[in-house]
Amino acid sequence: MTAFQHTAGTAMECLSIPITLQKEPGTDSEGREVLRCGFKIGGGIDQDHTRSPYGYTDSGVYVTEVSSGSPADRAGLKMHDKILQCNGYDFTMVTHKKAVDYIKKHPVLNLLVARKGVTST
Amino acid sequence: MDHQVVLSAAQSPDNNRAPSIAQTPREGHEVIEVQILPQDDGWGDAATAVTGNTSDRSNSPIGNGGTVNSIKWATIPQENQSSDNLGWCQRYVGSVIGAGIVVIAVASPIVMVVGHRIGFPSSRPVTNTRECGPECHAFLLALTVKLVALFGAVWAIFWRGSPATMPRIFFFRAITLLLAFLAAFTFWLFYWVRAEEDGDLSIVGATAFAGGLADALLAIHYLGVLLTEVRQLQPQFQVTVVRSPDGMSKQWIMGSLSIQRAAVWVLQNYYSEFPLYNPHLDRMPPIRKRQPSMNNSTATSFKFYDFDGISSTFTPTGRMSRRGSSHNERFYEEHEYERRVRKRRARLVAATEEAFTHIKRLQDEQGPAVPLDAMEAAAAVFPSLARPLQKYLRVTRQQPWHTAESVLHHLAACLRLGLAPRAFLDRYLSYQPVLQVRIIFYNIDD
Repeated sequence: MTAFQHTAGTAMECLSIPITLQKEPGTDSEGREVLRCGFKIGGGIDQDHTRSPYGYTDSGVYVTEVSSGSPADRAGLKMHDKILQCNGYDFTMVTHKKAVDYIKKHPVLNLLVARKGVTST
Repeated sequence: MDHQVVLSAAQSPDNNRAPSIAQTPREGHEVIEVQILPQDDGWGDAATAVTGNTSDRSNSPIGNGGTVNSIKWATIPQENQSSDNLGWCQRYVGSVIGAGIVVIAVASPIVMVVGHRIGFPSSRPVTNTRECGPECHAFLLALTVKLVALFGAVWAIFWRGSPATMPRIFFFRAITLLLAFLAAFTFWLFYWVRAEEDGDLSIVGATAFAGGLADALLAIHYLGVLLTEVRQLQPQFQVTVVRSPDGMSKQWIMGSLSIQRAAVWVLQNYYSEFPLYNPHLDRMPPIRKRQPSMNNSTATSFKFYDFDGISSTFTPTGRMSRRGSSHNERFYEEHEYERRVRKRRARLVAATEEAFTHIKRLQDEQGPAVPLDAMEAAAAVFPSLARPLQKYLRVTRQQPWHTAESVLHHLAACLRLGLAPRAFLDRYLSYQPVLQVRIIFYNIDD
């Protein structure tokens, strides 16, 4: 069982890439101060992964886009990475909303991601 | 012309059960009807099944374009009114003639000897009727033994129907019959000539004729056995049978048989060797996420979140990189399914072994003097087995075939015989051949 066909809730052992993402302050469209991350996520255990356009094979949280020049890009995050952990919090069994809330909460994200072809064949 | 081959299985002696099994067509199942007949069919290539559309002279409404579904067992004569007598005649004339020839041929030696004794060809001097020296006795004894052997041989090999009803003349049987008839005829001719015309037939001569005829008949029987049974054992063809909905195939080696008999042979092997086709297995439900705390009604689309913008939902419109995953889907589905099946099977085996050891411990506690009451013990452990067994049957879609009653009976039988847990489970874990599952399903045994 690889990291990309993981049934949420079962034990899994896999290699992962540690990525430290420092959010940088910026302003959003309305002029407020926000911390920018520069990536988008999709998925979660409440989502139906078979309807994902990228063909994700399990119900984990995946990075669906990384904007170039953003903190995510500089930290080494790539598209279609699966986020396994964020600041020690297990991301293989979170809902979409929870994942979003968690990422938005912290200014520094210590992520463990799994990447197809790199951490698993 | 339709070749409908109807299989008549030579069956176990308990024929007081339902004499015929008609399988109502379930979806995806072939509709070959199996009938278990008592073995009292006539000699020769008698039809053991009543069929309506294999004769090119019948003008029944089913005719030659009849489908298999429309053939029922006992209703053919009613549907076939116009050619009833002709059909009956056609089917049985062969066997009647054959039986007649056999009876005549086998009884001839006896008639020759007894006839001579009682002065049967009448116009003879009676001077030499009563002497029966050692030669005569020897001949008579030999004749008796040969006749016994002949009776047994004819009964064993020829007193049963041939399963294929076409072609109407079974070539080799016909040859054997012809030879037997010729032999009997020749012997009788010479006997008659000797007895009537020349008038010098002694008792020794009569028994010599009888013995000679018995010898000849035995030799012809040997030839018949070789022609009809042994010749087709020599392997000559390889037959591959592929079953349509699930692609299961097997290869067999066959000797030289006629097409009809080959078809019957293939059917017999099919019933005993092919596992039953389970149509439910093809209609696998879509993968459900068994998340106990989730409400699946919200998972209508795949959500995205842009941390620098607002969240949006994606409804799949075009063909993005989804096409790259569609061929993987099937693979992952099957992989998942197999994993589930294996997991449940392992749990089932573990539960069964536990139950059986429990019984064994109970039995040991009570001591060897108290016999095990199988039904009670089965009822006692059945609840602990029921759940894993039911889950396994659900996963492999076998649950319509096994009721709780039948499982209980089977468990009791296994306990009574002292079988191991895996022997009990074999019926549910392995794929059963077609004929056996039908028997289980209709609850004919235990």
